[in-house]
Amino acid sequence: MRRRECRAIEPLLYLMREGELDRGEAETVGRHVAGCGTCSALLRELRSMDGALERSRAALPEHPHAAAGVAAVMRATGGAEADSRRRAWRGESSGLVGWARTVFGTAAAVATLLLALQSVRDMVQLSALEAHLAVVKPGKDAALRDRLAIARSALQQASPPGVLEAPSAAGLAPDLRRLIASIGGIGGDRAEGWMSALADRYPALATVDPGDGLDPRERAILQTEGKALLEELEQLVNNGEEKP
Amino acid sequence: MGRHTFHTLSGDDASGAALVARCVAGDRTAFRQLVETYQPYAYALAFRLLRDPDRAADVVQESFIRVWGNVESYRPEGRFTTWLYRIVVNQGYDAMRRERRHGRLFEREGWGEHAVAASGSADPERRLEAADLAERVLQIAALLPPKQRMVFTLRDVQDMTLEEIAEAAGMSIGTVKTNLSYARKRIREALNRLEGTDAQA
Repeated sequence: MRRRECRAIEPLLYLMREGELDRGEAETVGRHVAGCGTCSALLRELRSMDGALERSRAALPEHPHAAAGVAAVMRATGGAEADSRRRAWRGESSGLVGWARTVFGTAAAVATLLLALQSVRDMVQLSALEAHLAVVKPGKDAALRDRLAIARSALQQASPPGVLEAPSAAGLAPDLRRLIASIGGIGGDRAEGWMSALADRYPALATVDPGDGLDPRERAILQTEGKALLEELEQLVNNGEEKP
Repeated sequence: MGRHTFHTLSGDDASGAALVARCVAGDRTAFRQLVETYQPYAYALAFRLLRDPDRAADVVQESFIRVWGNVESYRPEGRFTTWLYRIVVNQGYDAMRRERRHGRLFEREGWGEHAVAASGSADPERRLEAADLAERVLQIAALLPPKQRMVFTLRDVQDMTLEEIAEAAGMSIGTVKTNLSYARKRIREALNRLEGTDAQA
């Protein structure tokens, strides 16, 4: 067990980069660490974590649509039409993630939509997953993101005309099936229900091998987080049903 | 190298202030120039906070709209970048809070076990790479509560000083330190839970 002094000093140990401790604090920490193996090990660990981060510091992420970004700002600040145009641009640019965010922000609207349209419910779940992926594993999820986009198109295609704008997307069912299989662990029964409901609507789903998947760590994270998301979504739906 | 992103800008600050002055007079050309010059830096900051290109782009757009709407409140004795970053940080913080998913992984018991239960097959060599470690740290950081995540990102990724963070986030230095210390503690603990279970597997 660590000594009382270690516990007292711990919050300061975590402030280990240049300029984070004042002189007195630095001296206290220095004295303690010199005589304490546990704390000096912790300090080394923290320094190696910081060393690993150095590369992310050097790399400056680039705006993917820099010119469009400037143009959008100019439009948005420019005049009477600005607002509607800005929204149009945002709609294009933020895609599913933006869509999910909008949806999460307006629970009542979602609930109404969901009551009216099962396909919208499917969309919300997909969108939630995509939004989630953006948070949990950005940069590494291009393939899964693509599949989510495909699934989205498939749902759009199948939904009543005018409700969701549908680009033509033939033959998407196999991808959709693989997608669902890959996230199938989420929410257990609920995911099963969702899958069979989709299979009813997309007969081709039944014929695709569900073997395709995520790496185990990704799956585990998705399971935990995805479950919470689905619960959140379900709550939204239930609230709407109570008071339509 | 660490100061790279924040401080390469300081040379431009005089021109930033000059451009803002022209914006106050309604000069659209100056505003366009301002957006073109500073958008890359605003974007880098927003992306680091949100780790999502589209949402970062949205935050940058909202931020510059605010810059245009509030040019009169800019005080030329302060650096333009400091002022801009404060706006971006505010917008970014709001965006983080809208996610409503933060902290879940930490609140749920047994997260470490869950997250690695099936990860025995992960390549052990890969785990040792610094890049991979950084990536994991950033993934874990993305799940911290917004305030801790913000302070951690501004300090350890964006490499701002504590004073700059305090200014941008509207916090006292003490609050910045507390959040930073706690963020690193949580990240380290989450990392160890992952590594620990990996080692047993």
